Amino acid sequence: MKLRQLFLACLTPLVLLGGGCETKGQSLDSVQPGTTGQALTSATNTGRNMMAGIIGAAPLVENDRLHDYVNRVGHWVALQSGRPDLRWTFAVLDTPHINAFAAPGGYIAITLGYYQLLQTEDQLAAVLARQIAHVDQRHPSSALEQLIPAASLKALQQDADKLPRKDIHQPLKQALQLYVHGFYPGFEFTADREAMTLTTRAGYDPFALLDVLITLSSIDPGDDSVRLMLATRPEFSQRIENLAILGDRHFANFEIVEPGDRLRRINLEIARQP
Amino acid sequence: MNAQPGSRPVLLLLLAVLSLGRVVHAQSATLVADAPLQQRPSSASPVLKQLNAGMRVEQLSRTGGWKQVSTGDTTGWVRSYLVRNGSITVSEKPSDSGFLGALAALSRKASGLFSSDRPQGISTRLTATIGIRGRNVAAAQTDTGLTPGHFAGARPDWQGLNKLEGLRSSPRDARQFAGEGGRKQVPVAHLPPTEAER
Repeated sequence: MKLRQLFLACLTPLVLLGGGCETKGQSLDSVQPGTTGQALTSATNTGRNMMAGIIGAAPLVENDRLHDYVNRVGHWVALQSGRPDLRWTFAVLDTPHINAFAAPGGYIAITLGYYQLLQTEDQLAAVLARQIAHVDQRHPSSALEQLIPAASLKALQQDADKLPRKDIHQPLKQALQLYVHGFYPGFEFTADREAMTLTTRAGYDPFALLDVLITLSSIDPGDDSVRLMLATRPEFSQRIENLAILGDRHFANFEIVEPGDRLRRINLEIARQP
Repeated sequence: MNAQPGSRPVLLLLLAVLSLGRVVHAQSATLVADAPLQQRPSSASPVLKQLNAGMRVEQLSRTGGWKQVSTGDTTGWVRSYLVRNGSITVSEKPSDSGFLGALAALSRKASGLFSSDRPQGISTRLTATIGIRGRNVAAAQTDTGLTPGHFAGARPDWQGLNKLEGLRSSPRDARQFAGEGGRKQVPVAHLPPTEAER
């Protein structure tokens, strides 16, 4: 059995039962909408620390205009979620590989390679909505609680600005394996479905994620740029079929707002920057 | 009509802009699988004709999960996910693993955008079209990517994190930006879980 399958086989029953070890630190899973206090602080600290690790793996694109755009679109979509109160933070990573990541507390990253595939703001909103849905559904928190030892989780929940940072390095290394193993596949289908809802609530095209998945499915699966994404997600064909059924069932006659060309205009503006 | 001297270039420019708008609206597209052309955006409406995978059409409009297309002599509606913008070439031996398999095979063979012999995995066309000029594009084209090894060897970038947090949007800015883009909240209930999630 492959390592990932083994991991998922171990993780799945625990996650489905909403389980967690009693020896863990503050349960990240207990962060509910509007939660304040220690649980929220723990989730935010964990997400912050993980984001520092993610951008240690692939640097940020050094372009404030691009980040400003992605953060505005992402935050608008996040306001439609069950966690509008989080400090939503969206990063664009400087790598041609195609992927997106969610961390607790509202920390989200997409790669420049993924951004470059997108043709409209609707598609950008849909891709971000998927990661927002993971956070909204507490998928990263649930998976982390199963993936890393209690002591590591506790260390990650600390404010890195108030600790010797070397204390966080090892727990962070363990936590980043989340993005190598991936979530339980059921979580991915849930994220697709919830993304369709969030995208629509934000006034974007409910079918935008379907369009992105069809584009992704056209990439040679042997290509390096999608290898990690394919290893950590269910088959595109299954996801497309699932979303197409949902779309037909719920949005077949939905009146879609013209996509506009803001994404293209902003890309041109960025391209013209000195 | 007696046009003022000098007004002609302006009129020509105006016409050019107007005709450009029309061209932009009717996008060239390709069928990714065999599909019925329906009279209305509903599978219950009459079938006007059968369209074949690889057929070039003009995409005229969109409603829900349907796209209005013209084949030249007939205009009707097709499921949106069966129509892909741009042109692709039909495989002579389409996959026999159903629509989705055929779609993937068609797209991979024909789009030319992605192939495993491209070392970076990103098409030059995409980079040329939407690339971000400067250091970042150069970096994106030469980086080795984002693999399990990158995660295993990652050292946290605290400085980058602080910069990123300074680039967050406020809820107010996000709302204003959405409004400027013509986006309004649409009340939609959560969709029910699907079988795949279980």
